[in-house]
Amino acid sequence: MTRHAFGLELGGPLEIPGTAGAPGPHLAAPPLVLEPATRDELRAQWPAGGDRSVARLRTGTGRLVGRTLQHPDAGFLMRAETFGTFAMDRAATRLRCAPVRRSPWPWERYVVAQALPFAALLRGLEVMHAGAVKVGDGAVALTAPSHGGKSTLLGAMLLRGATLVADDVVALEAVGEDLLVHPGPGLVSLRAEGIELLGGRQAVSKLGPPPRPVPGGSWMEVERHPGPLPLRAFVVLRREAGAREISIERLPPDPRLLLGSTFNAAWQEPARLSRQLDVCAMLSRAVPVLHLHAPLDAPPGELAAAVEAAA
Amino acid sequence: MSDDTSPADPALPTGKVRVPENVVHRSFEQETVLLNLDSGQYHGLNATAGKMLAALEEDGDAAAAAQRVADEFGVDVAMVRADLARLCDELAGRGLVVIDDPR
Repeated sequence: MTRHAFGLELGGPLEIPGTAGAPGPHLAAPPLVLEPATRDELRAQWPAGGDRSVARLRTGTGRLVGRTLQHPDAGFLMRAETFGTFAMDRAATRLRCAPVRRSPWPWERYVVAQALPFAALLRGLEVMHAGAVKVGDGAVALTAPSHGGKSTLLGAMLLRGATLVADDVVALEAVGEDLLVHPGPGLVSLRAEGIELLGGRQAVSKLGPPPRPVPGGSWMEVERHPGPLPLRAFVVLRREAGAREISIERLPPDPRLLLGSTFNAAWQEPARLSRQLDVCAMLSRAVPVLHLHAPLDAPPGELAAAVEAAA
Repeated sequence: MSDDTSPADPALPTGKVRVPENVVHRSFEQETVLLNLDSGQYHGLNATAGKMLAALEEDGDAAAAAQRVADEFGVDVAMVRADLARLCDELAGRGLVVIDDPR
């Protein structure tokens, strides 16, 4: 069975939920092979010295829960509390996974949310913090501040018949005059309050098999679009206490917003920074950036309808 | 021809002005963003300054760039020369352009 996510073909004995399916066109590169390992193996094989910290993972309250080390020869060693230890080679062709045992979080979530997007970045795609759905012949990206309602809006659009392209990270590739969005895994994370806003568990059950409970919410498999799609709109959701009604308008794209929407601000190799600027400039020229303003209690279904009408 | 500038204003460079290899820039709708690849620092230019930078890159010569911008916008070239001199001075100070010694 072929597996893919974020423009990467996935191989090896470890299967990540939501990644199965016939792929569309991929990057011309070898597959990323996912293999099991133990923490002791990964630590023993990591060189003593010569590495540096390139990223830190923190909770919303600022507590350090993970770190990524880089070694010029060995690649990357990613440690994440409650998920495990993961090692990736420099070329992002091999990801070895040593999950933590007995964690309330599925270790695959770290692979989906962190390791695979990082691999896509190393392979030359630009990754932004946004969800995406298929609308018409293209993809519409959805972004919002943290806890701003992005996932609930995504869920509402899926319940209205849109097809998932990505839940939390979009992997972008410039091809000719188009920015292509490569689909992420067919997985959606929903917080408990988001599920309630969408109509409860019974309503959400229409999206797919029963979700897997995780702390604070659910993680569920959802059918996804199989291949890359041209990006047709970039929607920025802002729910504000002072807003009286839902409005959506096209505004001149602010480069700070686009550059700040990166999923990975830590990887600052010159080639990557240059590519990121290219992608953001191309997005600003070719894709309408739509600001969706709404009251705090705006029903997700109405927000979804506004996006569909404008995109 | 002498510039009509006060002693405190920078003079228009006479050497070739170029963007070094470690600096990339891209145009957005309302501004131009420059990125210093060595430092990872971003800098923004408004639309007018972005046009001036584009003219500098095309001409390499600040006087020619000033004339080009003055012609395009239909404004007094002396004013453009003064603005461009200040822009070059600021960009050079930030390492975003290099001004070659004309000698």
